[in-house]
Amino acid sequence: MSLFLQSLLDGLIAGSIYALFAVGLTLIYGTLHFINFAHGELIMAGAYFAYLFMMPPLHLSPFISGGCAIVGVVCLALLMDRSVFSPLRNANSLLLLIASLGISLFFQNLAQVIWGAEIRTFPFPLERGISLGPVVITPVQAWILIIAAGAIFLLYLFLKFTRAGKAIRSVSDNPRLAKTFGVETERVIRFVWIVAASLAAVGGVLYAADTNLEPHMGTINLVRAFAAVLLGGVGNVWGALIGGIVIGLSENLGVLILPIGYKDAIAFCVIILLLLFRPEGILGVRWGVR
Amino acid sequence: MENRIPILSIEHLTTGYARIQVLTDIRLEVFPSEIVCIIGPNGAGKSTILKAIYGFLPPWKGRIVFKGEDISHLPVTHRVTRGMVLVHQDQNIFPSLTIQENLEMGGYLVTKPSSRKARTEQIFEMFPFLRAKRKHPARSLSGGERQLLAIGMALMTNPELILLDEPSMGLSPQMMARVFSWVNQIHEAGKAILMVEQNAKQALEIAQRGYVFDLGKNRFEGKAAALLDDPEVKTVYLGGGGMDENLP
Ligand SMILES: Nc1ncnc2c1ncn2[C@@H]1O[C@H](COP(=O)(O)OP(=O)(O)OP(=O)(O)O)[C@@H](O)[C@H]1O
Ligand SMILES: [Mg+2]
Repeated sequence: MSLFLQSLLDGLIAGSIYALFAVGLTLIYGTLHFINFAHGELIMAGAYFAYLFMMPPLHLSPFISGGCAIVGVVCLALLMDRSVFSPLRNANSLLLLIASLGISLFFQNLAQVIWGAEIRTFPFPLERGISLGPVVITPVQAWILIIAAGAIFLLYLFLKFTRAGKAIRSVSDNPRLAKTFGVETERVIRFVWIVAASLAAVGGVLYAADTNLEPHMGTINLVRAFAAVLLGGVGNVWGALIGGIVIGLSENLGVLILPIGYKDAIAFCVIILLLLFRPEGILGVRWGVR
Repeated sequence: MENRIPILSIEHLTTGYARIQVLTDIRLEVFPSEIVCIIGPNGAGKSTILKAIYGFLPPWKGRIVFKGEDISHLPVTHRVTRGMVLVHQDQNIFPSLTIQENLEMGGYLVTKPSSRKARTEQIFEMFPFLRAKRKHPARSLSGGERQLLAIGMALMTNPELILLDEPSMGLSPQMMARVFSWVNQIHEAGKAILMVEQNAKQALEIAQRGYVFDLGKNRFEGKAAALLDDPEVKTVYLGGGGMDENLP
């Protein structure tokens, strides 16, 4: 029983991180209509930027490093858009997808050149877990939950109550109508990149804090995010959020039954099953907010 | 009316989609506070005219003059800020935004939050059913309610000229009558309306003037009453149109 509850908690922690990845991926899809394969590399970049700031010579605190990582990843995403996606704005989504795959490979290899292929971890001191009844949570894990929940809450406030947030939702709902009322699509696209990149950076830092860093960490997380996006119905923000949590839970509960080596296969299976049987998604299709 | 200065005039407009030419040498004028109705068969280019006026299609030849200014090559936003708005034929609401958010988006360029709020209140006063459902996603509305919401959204910027593309499309006769009566009231509040309609008879009954388009060209124009009586317009363009078709 306590093993089950522990897996549930671990699943929730992992899922809250995947939710951050998935929401960004689905927001980009909602406005630009392609699955950005380079989203994984934004995640990876977030983790490595934070690592860079935490390690000597800079030695900044984890929070400040995380903040710097967000800024770095946002700049990287805007640069990607400017140099590759913006010239392809009216191209079909297959072309955009292939372009994003190219960017993804480029940054994976660039990271490997800079930091090497070895697995790294954040320089956190080992801390004893806190027992909460039958489950144990480490301080780092507690921070992960708090930060992930905070990021989602901020996203909710942004999308629901700000003029820019409403403009983003209107463009993903009906771009022609948004233009009719004077919404400038390019500005909205820039906002979406900023939001998606920030969430990827935060998620990447949290993921690295929970596990570790390596240059190819983006790939498996892209797969998880994609599975979560499909679960939620493509383009649906709150669906993707729930989808991320579901993927985190099913990975951690799945290994109670399956050998641990199959953990990474779970997201793949979800993708295959959904594409075969429910490409329109399962969750949140009728939710008020896209 | 014709000796006044038009609020909108289209001069020798030729345009189309990509390389497909749809409109040829179109002329059209709208005077302040009048309802002008465009009729014509399916595919005549009626929606295309409205889209071209609104700046979605750049003119290949000719000019679009709005309130004395050549707006042919100015962006859509400029039209909104100068007092023009377009209500599309279909997909003219944001289905997953709430009704209140839909109205707010209609007033996206009303940058002052207090004026946007006041405008929203005015629209709610016009259409109380929208206030009752303001927190619901717009997809929960019926066809006719959606059409009225779309009109409400267009009114958010307090425009002087409204381009209305087939406001009665797909509506029941009762709902259609309601929509037309609203169009009339908006006109009486002093706004100019350029309206495309399939239900030509009813539309011409509330309009002052009308244009008949066919195959992307001007065919007839004149006082609405005269068009209603013209034998050729009657047989070719009004025959079968109107309400009868929509009765069960
Ligand atoms: N996006 C588009 N791309 C290419 N051609 C188009 C496009 N939209 C319309 N057309 C073509 O332009 C012509 C005029 O279309 P338009 O929609 O303006 O007709 P309409 O008079 O509004 O007809 P309806 O009464 O059916 O609404 C048609 O031949 C149509 O096929
Ligand atoms: Mg049309």
